Amino acid sequence: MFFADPSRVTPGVRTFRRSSWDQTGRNQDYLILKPGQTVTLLDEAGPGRINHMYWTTINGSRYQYRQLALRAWWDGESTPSVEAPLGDLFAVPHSTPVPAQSLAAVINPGDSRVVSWGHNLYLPMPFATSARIELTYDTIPGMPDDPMAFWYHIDMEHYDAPLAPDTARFHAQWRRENPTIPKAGVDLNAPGWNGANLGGADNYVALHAEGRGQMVGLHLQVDNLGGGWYGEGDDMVFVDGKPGEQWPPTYHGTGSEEIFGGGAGPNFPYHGPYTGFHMVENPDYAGKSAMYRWYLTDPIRFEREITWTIEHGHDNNFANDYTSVAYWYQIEPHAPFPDLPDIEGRLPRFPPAVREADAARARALRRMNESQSRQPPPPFEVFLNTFLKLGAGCRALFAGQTDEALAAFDWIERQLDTGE
Amino acid sequence: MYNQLARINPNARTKRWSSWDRSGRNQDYLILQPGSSVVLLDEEGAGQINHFYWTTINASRFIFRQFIIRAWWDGEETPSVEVPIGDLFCVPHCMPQPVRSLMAVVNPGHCEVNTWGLNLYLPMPFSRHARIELEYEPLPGLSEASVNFWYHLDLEMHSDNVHTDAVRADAVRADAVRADAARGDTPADFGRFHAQWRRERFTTAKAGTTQINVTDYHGVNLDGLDNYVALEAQGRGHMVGLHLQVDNLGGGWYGEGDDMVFIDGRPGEQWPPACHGTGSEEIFGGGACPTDAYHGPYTGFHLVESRDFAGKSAMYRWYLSDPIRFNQSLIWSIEHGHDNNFENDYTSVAYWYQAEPHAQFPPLPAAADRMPHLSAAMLAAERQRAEVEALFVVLQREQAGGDIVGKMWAHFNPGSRALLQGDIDRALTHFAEARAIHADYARDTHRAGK
Repeated sequence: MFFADPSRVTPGVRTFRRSSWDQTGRNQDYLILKPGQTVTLLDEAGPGRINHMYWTTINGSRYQYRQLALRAWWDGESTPSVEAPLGDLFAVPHSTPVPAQSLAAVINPGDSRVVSWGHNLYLPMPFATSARIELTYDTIPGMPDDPMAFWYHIDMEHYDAPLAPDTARFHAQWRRENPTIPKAGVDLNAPGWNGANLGGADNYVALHAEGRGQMVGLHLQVDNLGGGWYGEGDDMVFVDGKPGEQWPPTYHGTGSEEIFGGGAGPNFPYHGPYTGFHMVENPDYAGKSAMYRWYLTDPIRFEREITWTIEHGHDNNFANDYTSVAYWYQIEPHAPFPDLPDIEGRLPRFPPAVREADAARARALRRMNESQSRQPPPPFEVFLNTFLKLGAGCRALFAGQTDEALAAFDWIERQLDTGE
Repeated sequence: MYNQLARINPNARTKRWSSWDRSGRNQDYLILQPGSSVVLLDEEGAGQINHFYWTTINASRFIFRQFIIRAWWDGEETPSVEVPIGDLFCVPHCMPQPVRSLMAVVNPGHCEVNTWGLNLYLPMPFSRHARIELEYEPLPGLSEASVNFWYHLDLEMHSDNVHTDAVRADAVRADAVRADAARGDTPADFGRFHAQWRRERFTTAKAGTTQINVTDYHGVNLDGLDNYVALEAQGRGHMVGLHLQVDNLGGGWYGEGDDMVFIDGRPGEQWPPACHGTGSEEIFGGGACPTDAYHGPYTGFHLVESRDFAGKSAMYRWYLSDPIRFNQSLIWSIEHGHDNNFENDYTSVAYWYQAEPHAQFPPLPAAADRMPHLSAAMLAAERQRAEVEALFVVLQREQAGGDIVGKMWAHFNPGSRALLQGDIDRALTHFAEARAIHADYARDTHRAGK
C-alpha cells in the first residue's frame, strides 16, 4: 500500500487526478447530484492505478451515506468489482460519520458548525485497460427533491508499461441481514455459553468470493436491537472450502471484539491504523456499533474461494441488524455479487421522526436555494444566518435530536418567508 | 505490508550519530552558540538515514525557525535539504503541536516544560557521502542564548552499495542498476531526499480583484499563474509530502484555494494542470472548513488557532500511497483564496525524492524574515523573556544547581510556557518575579563581594 521504500523513483509513471474542480476557473468546485441521477466520476484508459479517493458534502441528507452508491468496473468487465453505498465503503457506519484514523480509510472532521466530513480511501485500485467509476444517488420514496453538492478527488497514476500479470483487482462488496435469524431453539438475545455451533451454517456471511486473491479489510456494523452484549459471535473464515463441507474452518476466532483487536466488550469507541470500534452508541451495547479491521500485515489469502462469516451472538442467538463491507483483491473474474437492495432495504434503522426531520431539512435547503436565485438575493447576513441555522439543524439531526432539528429548519423557512 | 522486515540484508549495518557525552557523563547534548554551525553527521560510503530525532528544553520559540538544517548528498555543491528545523519536523509557526503521522511525529515531554520530541522517519539514501549541518542564526534582542540540543540520527551503511531488491526482472532497469553499480553509484532509481522551505509573507491578491480577503466564488483562474508555489523541481522524481502554514491576516475562511499541480509542464503552458483540486481542506483530507485540529497517518490540520479561521493554521499531507510522480518537472501550487484573492502569510515545506541534480533552490531569507507574525505586545514580552533568559544563563553558570537557580527557573519556565500559550500577562508576571529573584541574588553577591 504505502511505499516500502519512498526513495525509489520509478520512470514511466505519471500522476494525474480527476476531480470536481470548476473547469470555468470559478469556485463551484462540486458536482450537483440530483436524486435518481447517476454520474460518472472517472472513465480512464489504462494501464494505471487509483491511489486515493476523497469526497465531502455539506449538510446533505441524513441518509446520504447509504443513498449514494458507488460502482467500479475494471477493464471493461460486465459486472462491477465494487458495489457499495458510498458511506459504508469509506467506513461510515449506519449513515453516521465518526472519526477514523486508519491506514486504509481516514475520516477527518470539518467545520464544527455544519455536518461535513472528509472521507478518504487509500487502497490501491489497479487497472490494465480501463477504469470506470459511477455514483448513483438513489431517491427515497416520499421524500422531497434533495439535490446535493458533492466534492471529490481521485488521485491516480498512469503507466507506460503493462501491469504485472499477477496484479489483482480491487473489490468491495456490501451485505446486510436485517435482522439476522436466530438459530432454532437458542436463548434469544442474551450472551450465550452453552449452545454448540459446529458447522457455521447459520452465521452472518460478509463475503463469498471465488478465484485467487486475498481479503484485506472488513467494515462491520451492528444495530443491536436486542440489547446486551451481542459480541460473543466468533469469526469463522472458510478458505478454499465451504461451511457444511469444511470443518473446522481454516480460521476460527473467539469473539467479535477479538476480530477488531479490542479488549473484552468495548463500550467506548477507539480507532487506529489496523483496527477500530469506531462507533459505540451506548456503553450498555444497545443500539448501533461499528468496527473495522484492515488485514494489511495478514491478508486472508485464498486459492479458490473464501467465505468470511461471523456468528451473530454465540451460536447465532441474536436477532440483530448486521451490515458489512468486505474489501479484497482477486484475479478476475469475480463471482456474482448479491443484488444490492433497493434504497429502503439499505437505510439504517432510525425512528420515524428522523425521516420527517430530514424532509424538513430538504425543504429548508430548497427554500434557501430558491431565495438565492431571486434577484436581488437576500442580504448576505440572511444567507449566513440561515446557512448556520441549517448546519445547527443538521448537527442536531445527526445527533438524534429531531425536535431541535425541526425547530431549526422551521426557523429557516419562516426567516425566508418574512425576508421576501 | 512489512515484507521487507523479514528480509535480511547481509550487506547492511546500522549505526548512529548522536549528541551523546563522549566522556561517559550525562551532558548528552551539544551546546549551540548563536552564529555558529555544527556538523550533525558526516559519513563516507553508501547508506541511508532512516530516522532523525531532536529536542531542546525551554528554548526560545524562535529557534524553530532560527535553526537551519542543510543536507548534502554525495558531495553535491548545493544542499538537497535547506529548511528551518521546526518547519522540517512539522512544527508550524514556531508553535509545536502534537502530530502522529507516518512520516513526522511530534511527541510531548514534561508537561510543565516547553520540550517536545521531534521525529522524522523519511529515508535519506546516499551512495558516497552524507553531510548534515545545523546553523544557529541569531535573532538579536529576541533569541541569542546558547541552546542545549539533543539529537539522534539513525542510519544504515551498505557495504555492497547496491539496494539488492532494486534488481528486478525488468531487464532495462536491471541493466541500469548494474551500470550504476559498476560506476559505484547507488542505482539510479533510488532518488535522493529533498526538502525545501518557501514563504510568501504577504501573498499578493490578483490584479483587479475587488473581493480581497473574503470567500469568493466568481473570480476566474484559468492558468494558475498567480498561485502560491510550494515547490518547483526539475528532474525525475516524486513528491511525498507537504507541510503548509497559513497565517490568516485577513480573517474569514481563506481555504477556497485549489491545489494545482503541474507535472512535466508549466503554468501558462500546461492547462489544465495534471492535478486540479477543489479546495484547501480537500488536500488535507478534511470536511469543509475544519474548525478543530486533527492529525492522522496521512493528513492533518494540526493547528487551528481560532474557530473563525483567523490567525494561524497549519496542515500536512503525506503522499505515501499516492506520490506525485514527475519525469521532467513539477510545480506544486495552490491558490491563496479562490482566484488568489487573499493576502496572507503562506509558508511551506515540500518533501520529495529525485535523481540529482536538483534545480536551484530560492535563497533562504534571513532569520528576521523567517519569523512568524507576532503582535507588538507579544514581541515585547518575548524581549523580556530573552533578557530574563540571559540573566538566568549567567546565574546558572555561577551557581550550578544551587537553590537560587531553582527559584528563578520556577518563574522563567512557566513564564516561557505562558508566552507560547498566548498568556502575555501571566508571562510578564513570572518574568518580573524572576527578575526580582535575580536582583536579590545580585545584591547579595555584590555585598558578599565587598
